[in-house]
Amino acid sequence: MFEKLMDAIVNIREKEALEITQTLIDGNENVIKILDNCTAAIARVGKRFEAGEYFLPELLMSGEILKKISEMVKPKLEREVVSKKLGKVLIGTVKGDIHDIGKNIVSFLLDIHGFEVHDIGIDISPGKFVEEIKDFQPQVVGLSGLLTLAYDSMKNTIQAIEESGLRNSVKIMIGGGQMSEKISNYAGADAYGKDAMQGVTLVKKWIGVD
Amino acid sequence: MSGTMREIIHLSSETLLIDWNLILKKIGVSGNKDHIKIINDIFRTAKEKFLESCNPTGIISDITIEEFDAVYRGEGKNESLTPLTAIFRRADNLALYIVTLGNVLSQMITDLIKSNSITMAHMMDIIASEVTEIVADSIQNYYIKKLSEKDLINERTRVLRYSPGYCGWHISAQKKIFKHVRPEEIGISLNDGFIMDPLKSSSGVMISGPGEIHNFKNNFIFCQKCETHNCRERIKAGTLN
Repeated sequence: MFEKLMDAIVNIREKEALEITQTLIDGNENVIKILDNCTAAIARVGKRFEAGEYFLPELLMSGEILKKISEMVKPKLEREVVSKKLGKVLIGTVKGDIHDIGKNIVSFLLDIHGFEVHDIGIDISPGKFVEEIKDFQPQVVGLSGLLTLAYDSMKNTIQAIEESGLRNSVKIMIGGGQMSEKISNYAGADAYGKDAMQGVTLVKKWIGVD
Repeated sequence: MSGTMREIIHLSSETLLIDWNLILKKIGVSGNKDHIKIINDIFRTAKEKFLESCNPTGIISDITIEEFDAVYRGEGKNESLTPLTAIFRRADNLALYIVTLGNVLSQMITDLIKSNSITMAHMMDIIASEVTEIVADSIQNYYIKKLSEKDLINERTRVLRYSPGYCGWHISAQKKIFKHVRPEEIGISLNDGFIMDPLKSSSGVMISGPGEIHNFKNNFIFCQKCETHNCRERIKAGTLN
């Protein structure tokens, strides 16, 4: 049954995946085991994406299935289990830029991969990033920006994080339409995620999740 | 032309020349896997929702070289050397333009994200980005037609668009473009960071002149940071009239 559930998720058969989940719930199957299998399925989807067999729609659709399954099993989960996350990621679009679809996709994927994501929105000043890092205490900070004007904004944000003495407590990744390794170096980030899935891979690597 | 024409152009989404297969490819849908049908179904819905909600509108406003010089300088934040400085001074005609797909579409994408329909939101966002450029192309064609009617183009003329935020032209120049074009009338506003709302909008200048004025080498300092270098394709594929 679990293998069938995984197969349905990996091959984006939402209706079937939800039906199997309902059968498992009705049969009093351990919900943690259900979620673990879903997570393993999502990891398989991620591998297919990295291998170029799948594209972003498959990643997102499998994530949507997992979200729905999570909602189905929620009533059976104890509160402390629900809140147990792999690590904390703070993400936002830097000052001067208001594009957010890429940031939202990364947030969504990090969430379904088990991370606690604090999305602080768009057009975020360096000072606000510093303030939010102090409050949320993430292990990873994601800076998003689509436009070329975001280059300097990212650099200023990282500089502000450094000046506040928080730089060594966080890993910083950047991403967005015009970003690159070169811009990552220019801004002083730790890495550049060329796509949403690579963002997830970086966070997993830095937090030590295989 | 000499700074006298300003025109609002309403387009129908049905008449835009949209290459849906190309958009589908950009979204990343290919192959013969079983689930492709499901993705295609979502795309079909995204396409329908898009066509229902988008309201493609543009404004063109012609401008003299002297007037544009002030618009171009904007807030004084351009790079010291840019290709556009040499291009616009040799132009035969210039017009500022702003196009948008409207507010309803932007709100729909935001609402889809909020309701966790992220696949649909992603598809609609890509469609909208592509179509914004198609709307700008349509407005450019309209401008070319106007120039042609006035006998202001010949076989050597090429028209290309340039936008603030690219090639050393600082985005803060949007402020003066807005002052000249007054797009508030079609529901477009500018935020403190000089970004337009609705997001799926585009602005800039259309420059008409002999083809050779558009040629430049991509060895400016800011070209080193540029990842796309799509100016090369634009120059090569520039509209020949």
